[in-house]
Amino acid sequence: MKSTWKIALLATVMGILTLFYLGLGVDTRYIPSPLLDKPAFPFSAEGLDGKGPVVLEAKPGKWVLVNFWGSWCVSCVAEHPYLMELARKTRDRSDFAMIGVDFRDTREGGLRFLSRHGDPGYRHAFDPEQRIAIDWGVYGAPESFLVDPQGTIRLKRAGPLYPGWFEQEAMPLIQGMPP
Amino acid sequence: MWIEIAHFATIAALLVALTQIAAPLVGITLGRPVWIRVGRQAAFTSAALLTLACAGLILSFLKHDFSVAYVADHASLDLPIFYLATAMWGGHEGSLLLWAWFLSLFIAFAAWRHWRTHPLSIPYVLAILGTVLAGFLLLVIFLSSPFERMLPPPPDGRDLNPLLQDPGMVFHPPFLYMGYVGFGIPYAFAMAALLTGRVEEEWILATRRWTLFSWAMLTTGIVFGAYWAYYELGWGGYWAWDPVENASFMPWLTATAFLHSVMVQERRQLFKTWNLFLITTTFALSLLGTFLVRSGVLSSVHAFANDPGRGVYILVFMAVLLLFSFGLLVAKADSLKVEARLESPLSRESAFLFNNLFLLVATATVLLGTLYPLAIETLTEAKVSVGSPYYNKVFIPIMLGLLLLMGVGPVIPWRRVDRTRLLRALLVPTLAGIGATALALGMGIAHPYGVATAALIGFVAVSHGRDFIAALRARTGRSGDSILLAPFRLIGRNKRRYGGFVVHVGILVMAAGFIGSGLFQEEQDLLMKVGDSTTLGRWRLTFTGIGQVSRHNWDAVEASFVVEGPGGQLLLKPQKRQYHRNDMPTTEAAIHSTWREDLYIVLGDRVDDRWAIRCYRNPLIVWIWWGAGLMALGVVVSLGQGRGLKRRDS
Amino acid sequence: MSRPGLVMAFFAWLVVCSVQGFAVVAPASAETAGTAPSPGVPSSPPVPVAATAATSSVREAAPPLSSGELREDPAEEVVRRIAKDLRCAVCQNQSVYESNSTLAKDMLGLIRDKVTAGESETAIREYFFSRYGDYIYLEPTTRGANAILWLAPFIGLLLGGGILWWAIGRWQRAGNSGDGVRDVSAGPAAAGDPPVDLRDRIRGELNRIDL
Repeated sequence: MKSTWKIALLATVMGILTLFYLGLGVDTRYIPSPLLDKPAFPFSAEGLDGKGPVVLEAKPGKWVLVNFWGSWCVSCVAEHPYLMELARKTRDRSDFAMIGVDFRDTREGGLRFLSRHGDPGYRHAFDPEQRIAIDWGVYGAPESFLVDPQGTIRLKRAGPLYPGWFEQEAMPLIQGMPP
Repeated sequence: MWIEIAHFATIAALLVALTQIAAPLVGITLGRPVWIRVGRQAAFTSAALLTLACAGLILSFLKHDFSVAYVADHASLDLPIFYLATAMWGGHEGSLLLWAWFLSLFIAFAAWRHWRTHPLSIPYVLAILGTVLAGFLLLVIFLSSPFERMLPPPPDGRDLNPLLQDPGMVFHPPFLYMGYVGFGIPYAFAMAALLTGRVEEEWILATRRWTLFSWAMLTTGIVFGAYWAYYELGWGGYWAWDPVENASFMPWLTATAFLHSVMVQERRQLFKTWNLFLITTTFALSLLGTFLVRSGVLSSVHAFANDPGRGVYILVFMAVLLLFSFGLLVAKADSLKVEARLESPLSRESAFLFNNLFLLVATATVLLGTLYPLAIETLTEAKVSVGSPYYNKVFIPIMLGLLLLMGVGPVIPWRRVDRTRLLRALLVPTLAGIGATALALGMGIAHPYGVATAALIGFVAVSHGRDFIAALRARTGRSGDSILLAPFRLIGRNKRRYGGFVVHVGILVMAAGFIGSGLFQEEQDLLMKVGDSTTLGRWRLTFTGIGQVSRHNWDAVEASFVVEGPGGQLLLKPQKRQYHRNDMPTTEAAIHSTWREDLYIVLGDRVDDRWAIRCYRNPLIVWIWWGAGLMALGVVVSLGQGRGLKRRDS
Repeated sequence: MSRPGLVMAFFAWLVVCSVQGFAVVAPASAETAGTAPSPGVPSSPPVPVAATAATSSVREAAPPLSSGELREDPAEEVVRRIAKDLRCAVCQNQSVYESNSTLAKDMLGLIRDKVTAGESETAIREYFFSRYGDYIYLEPTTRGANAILWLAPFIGLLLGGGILWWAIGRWQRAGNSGDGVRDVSAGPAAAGDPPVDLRDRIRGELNRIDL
């Protein structure tokens, strides 16, 4: 056996092992979104509350946090207190709004979720057939998108928002670009 | 109670396995055979202990002992007894124990069988296999224990995953594991050969049956998996190039290469290093398969997120074994006397070399396709999918090349042949190939892969058939056997050669099944209400009713279809099952199989008063199962051949 | 034909085979990409999804209600072709067509609506691609690093074949220059020349090692 072959063999084995070592740390569920820094997809959908359509304009004119959730999703329960807190804290801001999208859900399920875990106060679009969710490239819940006043998606988070998310991730962007 | 016995038995087995590593090595160093004998006893003891452990776990299932967390997670009170007994390998923990149990049984058998015949190798074999066993037992005991208690016990268990409640899935893992584990024995003998420096043919002769047996088990296991996918998953297909499937397919490919290339070493004493490399790679890929499936690096199911320790452990374990094995191979390779003396590129030896090249490239392709998404994900921010469309395009041409070589193989003699003679020998098979091409085109096969496969089936079939008939003539001419008995006598006298032929014919039958089901599948997606009917190929389907069925642990909606076909009327009843303790409904396709085609009906969701119905016509699909059967039969025939290789009867 | 010629021809045959295999796939999709909407369905410009989200039903594309003989809507063929190549993002390795998950079913419904609305196959693929990225295609693209995936197997075959051929030639010379190395298993009768014809060869093989 020539030494070239020996080196190639050992290098291949080492390479595969190294790849696995690095791969162990990767969250295989995370799918990067190609939507970052692309225009958001405006929608006008029936509200979960049944009180007229919930609308996201093409140019909303303020920062909008779009949160996809469903009553069937366990992590959404964990995330909910933070959404409540965030909604309360930002209620007086004129440059920031929140919209929920309750997808792949029944109306009763969604409403029951809100009455059990608290109603954060902003409105929710009702999306039982996931049309908005698929349009936004959502594959799980919860997922959140931060849309800037010009209608561009600036942040995406798959998985629950963590306490302090707004200050750490959203505020720098908002301060960097006044409406 | 039983679970504690099982737990202690496993811990004891680990200690015994450690003894099995140490004692033979001490024996060699000190030159005291008694110590080696201790290692042998250790092998027997750990097999007995692990048998007890498995029995304990199965008994806990049978007694519905839900205070055992593993039982509570994988069984319930109304799970049928058949699945209750086999739920033991329904989850990670239990299937790792099953792996270890098979390994211990095989070690014990090897220690008994090869004790007297291979006194020099056996201490190393015991130590190496003991290491593998200890590695798995450490995993079972510390990181993935099926023996944990959960107190207070829940009143009922969470039931076995509905998808696993199917005979195909019950038999799939044990066969697969027997295949994986079985390759451990030839691997250990190969390592022992390197360590003792006796890299002659002995280790190959000693483990020939192990290799054949493991190959047959792996083949059967893979086919059971495909069969399960076809019957249970309800999408009309049988192979999805899933990473888990690929993981079992890769060792199969390298093992196939090994089976062929050992013949060259047995006969011509060539390719010594190469064979060592192949068997090491086969076993390494078996371990890799276990790692891929069990560590969660490739799956999107997040089973191991909360326990990364398991993945790290398996990785370290694998790294140690891989670096040891390949390192040993590289270090000792130079001491092998390389006697390269191929006489001609036109010889069976070099045909086998090309066979190995194709199989190895095929393995590398599957490995690349499986690891590429992981590499991209790890090294960049992006994420890609490599799914069946990729493999179908890239893999099939490689397999076609192999089919061609399969036809040339038996025709081309050992050592050398001159070109005109070879071409003359290939003339009739080639004509048959051309005939098959014409036939295929006439039958409306338009896809080049399909035409090429048909041509090669004709080519290979005739090259094998001619060889067999010529041998038959030679035999009847000499011994005066009757025409009826002669084929059996011939096969009986040359079990290994004709066993191989039978395997090849099985592959041809399978290939026909692949073309039929791959290129001629017809399907319809319909919304039907009771009374509607539709036509699919030769079949006319009428939706006659819908009802409820309940059994054991599930309720189902069951549709009735009256099917009028060539053979008269049939009643087919596809179901949509809801298992009591699982949210996900499962589909139970109704399948009517004939040798020509399968009719396959799947009941989907209800939409108002109508039902989504998917029906498929899958031509020649049973040929795949029959082909697999023939392959298994071929191996059984081959296994009949003893070690008497240098027999002469002139 | 010379020996290298034989091997070259063999590889050329393989390459032609695979190229044709690719080629067949390409025109098939190109042909349908331009297909007009199926007859009976009014051709309409693509409807923004947001507008249809709340109102349209998943099953719009289904055949009209009528008892008796049903035939599959021709659009289903297109739906199936698209759905089989899209990955169900929440499943392990299933296509949207095969999967039973809700996301896959809703995606299938969306594809069906889009096909019925007259969107071209390429436009629908592009739609999913722009939302989910490369990940959504079960078949990796040939762009960028992905080229490795598509080329490596064939380069491996060609390179391996070449090396093997070269090595066999070298071993052959080494063997021939050696001092009459003999096939140890060969019987005395077969020590020198290769067997004469098919029957002799087989008889020879059967009589010696059973391989």
